[in-house]
Amino acid sequence: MSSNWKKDLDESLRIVKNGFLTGDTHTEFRFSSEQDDPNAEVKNALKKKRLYAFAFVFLLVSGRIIGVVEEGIWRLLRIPVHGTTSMLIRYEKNGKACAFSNLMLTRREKDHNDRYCDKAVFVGQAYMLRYKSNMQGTVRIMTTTQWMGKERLDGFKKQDMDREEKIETENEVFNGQFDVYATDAHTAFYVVTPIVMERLLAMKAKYGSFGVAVSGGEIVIALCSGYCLFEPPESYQEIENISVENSKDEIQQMLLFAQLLEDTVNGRTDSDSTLTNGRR
Amino acid sequence: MAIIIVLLVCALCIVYAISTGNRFKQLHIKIQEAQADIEVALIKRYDVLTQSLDAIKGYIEHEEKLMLELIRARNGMTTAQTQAVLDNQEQVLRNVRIVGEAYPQLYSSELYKNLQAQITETNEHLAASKRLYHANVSLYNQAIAVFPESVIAGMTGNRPAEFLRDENAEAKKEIRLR
Repeated sequence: MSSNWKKDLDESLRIVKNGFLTGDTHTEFRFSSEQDDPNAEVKNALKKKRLYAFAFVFLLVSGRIIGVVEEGIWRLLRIPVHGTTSMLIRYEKNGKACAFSNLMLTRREKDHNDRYCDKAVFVGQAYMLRYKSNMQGTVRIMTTTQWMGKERLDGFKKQDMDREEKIETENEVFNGQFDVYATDAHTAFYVVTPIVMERLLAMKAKYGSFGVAVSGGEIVIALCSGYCLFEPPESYQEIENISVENSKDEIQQMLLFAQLLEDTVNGRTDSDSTLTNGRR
Repeated sequence: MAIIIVLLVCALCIVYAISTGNRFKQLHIKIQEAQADIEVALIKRYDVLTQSLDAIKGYIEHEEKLMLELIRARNGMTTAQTQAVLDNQEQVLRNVRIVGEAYPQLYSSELYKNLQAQITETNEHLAASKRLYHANVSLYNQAIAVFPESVIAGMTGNRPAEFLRDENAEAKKEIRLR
């Protein structure tokens, strides 16, 4: 268990950025398209390169190279997402390590006046818990929204066809609001128990978009709340959202939920009491 | 022209029937996988229960009324056999706990506690396997029940799969009645 908290947080950021946004912790997350689709670049990479090569030659011949090359370089250069954090909680106890932080992911893009500006793509909280576990495999649970009668992931990476399978639980309501991807169905059903499903549904009703990843002895939760906890407001509208009580409640909920997940993974049966007394 | 249309429709029907039949097969395989998963959990629980019975051997000489004989769990069981093993293990499990509670010395021993912890873990895995099995059975049964898939299911001999009974249902009923 590492005691280097900077390293732990960097790791949590890497998982949030890569695990959630690309679905693969080994693939660095990059935005390329204006539509914020992280898959679009991968799918159309070859096509785009050919198109740019053709456009480059054509525009070189036509003498209009300077402005377009700038644009082309901008598009071809894969400027990574920048992450800023402010640590809220961290502890290491009984072989467990926990880090809870505000997280803001931004990417640089051009505005209407052709000037570069940072655009926030994720504002919320990231939570990471490491503990000893024999569990093998990965389970990703992400909120979905219904759009034009179709299910759409809330900005998270879709199924990794090579390694993951989509899991349909016995709970139809849960299936309608969450997508579960796992390396094997048994692990998914082991983690996503009825009480966990109930808790996830309650969390979605309260906080909206979020994702959970359970991988071996690690739990990561990314809550896209749209604001940072315990931080001064940046605009007048945000003043109304300031509530220490709400912030405290959100942290407690997330800690309890992570504890419930850990108890589930480690085969503990006293999760109900943990949730009701809320003293852990 | 009419012949071509008829042939085209026939070809489409055949393709549809084949793809639907294949889907039934896939769902059926998923059920079999889930059933194998249950068997693995049952075999593991059988091993732990056997160890538990060995551990309490000295205490059960006077407990003749308690049923403590285990049915051997193995791979490739039918649904009925799986159900029988499940019921049997649940019964033995309850009786092992009764013996443990009757003898404080046994109840507080490290070996007994360790075995109970192992049983709890295997129960968690078994519960997950059963939920997976039920989810797959539900998907399969729904797939073969709706029209027009029901016609193809009837032609290919696909019958509804059986759910496993809740072996604790009777015990829960008894608790409520008390």
